[in-house]
Amino acid sequence: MNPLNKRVLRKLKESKLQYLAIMVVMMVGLSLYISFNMGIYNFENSVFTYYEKNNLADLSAEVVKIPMNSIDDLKKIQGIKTVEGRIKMDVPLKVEDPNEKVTARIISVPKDQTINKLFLIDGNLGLSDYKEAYVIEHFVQGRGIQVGDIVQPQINGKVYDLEITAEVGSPEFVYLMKDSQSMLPDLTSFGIIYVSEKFASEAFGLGNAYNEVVIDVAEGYNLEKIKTKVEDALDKYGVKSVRLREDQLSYRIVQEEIKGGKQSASVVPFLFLIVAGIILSVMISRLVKGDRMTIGVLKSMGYTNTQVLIHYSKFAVFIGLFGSLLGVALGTIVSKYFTQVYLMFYKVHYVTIEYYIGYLLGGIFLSVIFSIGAGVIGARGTLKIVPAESMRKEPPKSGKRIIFEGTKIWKKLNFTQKMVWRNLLRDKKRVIFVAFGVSITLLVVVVPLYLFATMPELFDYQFGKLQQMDYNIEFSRPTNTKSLNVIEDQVDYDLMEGKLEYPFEIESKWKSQIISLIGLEKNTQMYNFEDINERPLVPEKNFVYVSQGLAKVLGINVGDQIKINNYIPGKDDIYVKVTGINKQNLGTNVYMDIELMREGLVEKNSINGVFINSKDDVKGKLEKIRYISGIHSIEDMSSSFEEFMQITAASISSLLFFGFILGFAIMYNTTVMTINSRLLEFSSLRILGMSKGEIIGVILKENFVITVIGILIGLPLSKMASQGITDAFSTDLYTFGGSIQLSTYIFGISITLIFILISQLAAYHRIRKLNFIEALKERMT
Amino acid sequence: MSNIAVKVTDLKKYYQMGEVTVKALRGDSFEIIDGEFIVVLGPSGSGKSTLLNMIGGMDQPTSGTVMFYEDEVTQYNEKELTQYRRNKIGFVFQFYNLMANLTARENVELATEICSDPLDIDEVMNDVGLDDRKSHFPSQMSGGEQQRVAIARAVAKNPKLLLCDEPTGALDYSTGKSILRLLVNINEKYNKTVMVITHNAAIGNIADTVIKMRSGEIEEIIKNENPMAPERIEW
Repeated sequence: MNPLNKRVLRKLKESKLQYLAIMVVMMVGLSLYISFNMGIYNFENSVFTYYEKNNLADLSAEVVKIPMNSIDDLKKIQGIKTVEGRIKMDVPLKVEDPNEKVTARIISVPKDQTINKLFLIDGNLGLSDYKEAYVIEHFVQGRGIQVGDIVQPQINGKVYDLEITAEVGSPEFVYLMKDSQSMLPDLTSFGIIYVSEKFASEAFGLGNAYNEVVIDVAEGYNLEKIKTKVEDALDKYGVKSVRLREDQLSYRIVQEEIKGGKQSASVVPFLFLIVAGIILSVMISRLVKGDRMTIGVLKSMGYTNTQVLIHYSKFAVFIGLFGSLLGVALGTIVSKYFTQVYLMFYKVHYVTIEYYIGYLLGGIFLSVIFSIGAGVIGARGTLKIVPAESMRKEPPKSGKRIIFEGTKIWKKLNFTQKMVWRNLLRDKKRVIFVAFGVSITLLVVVVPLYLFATMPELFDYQFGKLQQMDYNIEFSRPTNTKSLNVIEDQVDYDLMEGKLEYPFEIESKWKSQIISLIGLEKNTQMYNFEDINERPLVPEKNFVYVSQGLAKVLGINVGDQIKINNYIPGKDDIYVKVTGINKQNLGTNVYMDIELMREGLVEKNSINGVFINSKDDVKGKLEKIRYISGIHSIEDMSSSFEEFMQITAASISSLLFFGFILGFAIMYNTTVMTINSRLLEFSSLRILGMSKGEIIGVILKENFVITVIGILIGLPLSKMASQGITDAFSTDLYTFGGSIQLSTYIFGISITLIFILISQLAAYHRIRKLNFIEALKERMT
Repeated sequence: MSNIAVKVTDLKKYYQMGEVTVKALRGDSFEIIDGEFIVVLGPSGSGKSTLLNMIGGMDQPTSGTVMFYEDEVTQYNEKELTQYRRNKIGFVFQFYNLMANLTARENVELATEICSDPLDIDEVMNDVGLDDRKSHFPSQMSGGEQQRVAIARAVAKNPKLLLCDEPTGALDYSTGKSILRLLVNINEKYNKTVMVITHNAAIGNIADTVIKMRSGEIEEIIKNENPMAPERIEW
């Protein structure tokens, strides 16, 4: 091996802990790059294979009623390949605990299903006309039921005993949520039960009619145009909504997940690589500075600038190459688990876990490019070294009085304090470098802590501040406001308000989205609306509020006219003026005066749900009311939130762990580098009679000041990074946000100080081992 | 003219040291004959190291010329200077300047790696008396041994001119003499022109030519008809 290469290896060994720390950062960065990318790629591939093989519908339309023999009329629309009708209804499911409210969505399965084909997991496909059902896999797992068990849906007041003959998956329900208002999946209280067409039509009394059609469109056709034609064609059957695949809840959530995953893959690994690159570059520039004479000797022997530059860049390339190889190995292993984590939440079949050579080679290429960049930037100082000058002692830096000298405060400082301030103010580059390290460490700690703190805040705001009701009760069909009297008779309550809640398509300018439109009493006490600046909004007559996520997506401002597309037969589309944008972190809604909604969109005096504030046993007392399909209490929400938080806590802990690696690598390296570059200074102090302890005391005082500066810079940086991340991850379903709490900063600063302390201890150990006197005599490089 | 190895004409070098302008060379001229052993004598700050750097292509003068055989070194560009240092010049420094992380042999190899006509490393190391110390690291060797490695490193490149900057300055009396003996041997055996700069006047006795310097100027050039053996000089 070439002697210079041997030197590289031996020098690396000399400062192994420093280089190892950078290598670990590089490794983590690359393993995140590989695992994020391959994990998300595998997930995306698997989910699209599933969609393709089981033919996820391109369009679905809910109608009041369409005769079975009219379904084929839709095929006349050019581009439509297949149409299937089905009956879909949400009904209560009878379970052992009478207080538990479980909703089952009954969906009929055609004999020769070609759209949204079910995936058999257990049991046998082939339903008898009665008494048999398939159950969706999420619900089977959530409730711990199995093939052979009986499920008891209550349809129109009658309980049916259906034997589960198969556990199935569906491309339509990769992620199972009742609706976009559910916020979180609740696999114990909501499930899908598939039944025969014959059973469904008889049990629901629909006769020879469906209430939903699913459509498969041939490739190459404009789906928007077909959607419009379908809306027109179904108008006479009382079309309620026509959704494109993109508007379908599960599909949308999967897409958001993939989008978020790709964003993470394009940001997080680069943060690590950039940090590793910066430290590496600074380390090499320090090495070059210390090796001034060696570089002079190499040049005196006839080594060219390029050869010397390459020699010093090799330190970085070596770290990059080894870090990347370890990162590739780790990333490849982790990516498999990464995909599996996705599969814990998303029920996808035909899963293929592949290792894409492109990402592996790309990852190595990426880190080598970063390393070469860091190496060349760090080693560029070699070019300036003139061999003859390198043989001479460096001229002393021109000494100047620092700005505070002569002031009263200055006079009061003791000798070491003056020394500390002189050192800090004379070597500003070092101060900036270490302070930068501290601020980045604070940033990587505060961001995950902020995310961690934001999650409960989202829910606290949604369920503690925005929504004021104890119970949200849904009806299976619209009723007259008089139905409130029935409920009033059953429960003791403090407050009760009827509501209307329907899916409608909202159009603003050229954009549209299907959302849940909620009609509320003006001056409602069930919602405590605030605008995005947390100023109260008072819902007056004809109020129309748009939730902030939706307003952002559709570009809606206060005062805009929005169009509400009305599918209800005999009712026209209406235009309403937006009177407020309301702060809302979860879900997308439009809220409006219930009277305005009744007048323009539905029937007079109608409601299809009720909000109740009550200490009474609401669930127990209302369960027998036939038209109630769901009772959701705040406790239900908080228990599902707790589950969600446990998963979130695990992923944020891993972020914090990565933050620790970054923080330690930054602080340890910056401290050791500054100590190494000041050996001669410390040696002189030792000769002047200062003890090791006193010197360490000076370093600690300097580091304390730098840490304070770093924290002061780090706080706004952390705030900016947190806001950047929340912006990047916010979707129309979830709007992260809110200001960083003081406790998050305090906690973040405390953790950063612990990291600094640990790295200082490691550095302290190094100082104790240093022979200061030898350093004065050192002439070898 | 063909036996003139180096011809220095009106060489000046001014450089900035912090806030001070140092006039290191003030218009010096002299010639070095091929195969000579030259000693440049002078106190600290007399400009001898600067002179050596100019001849060795380590630095560019403010004005004046340095001819190496037929070529004008002072006209060389950066690339030509590198090639010149690589193939024509060998340097030996007062503090050896060895690479701490490389063994004695690897330090020599470092120099031979890049030049066009190197000598056999093992033979050179044998000649400098380091046959059994080849695999030692500098920290495992004495000062004299380290300087021998530095000399081997310079000689193994097979340069025409060996430039030695205070080669005995960091060594004790007897080790210093042994190093001088080694340099004389190299001058004789390998027929290399050797230029030693030193502040030690006694060393001038072993040279064919002595150039005395003071304050950046050549004070006197002395031709020594009967150079002494290094073993015989005293200081």
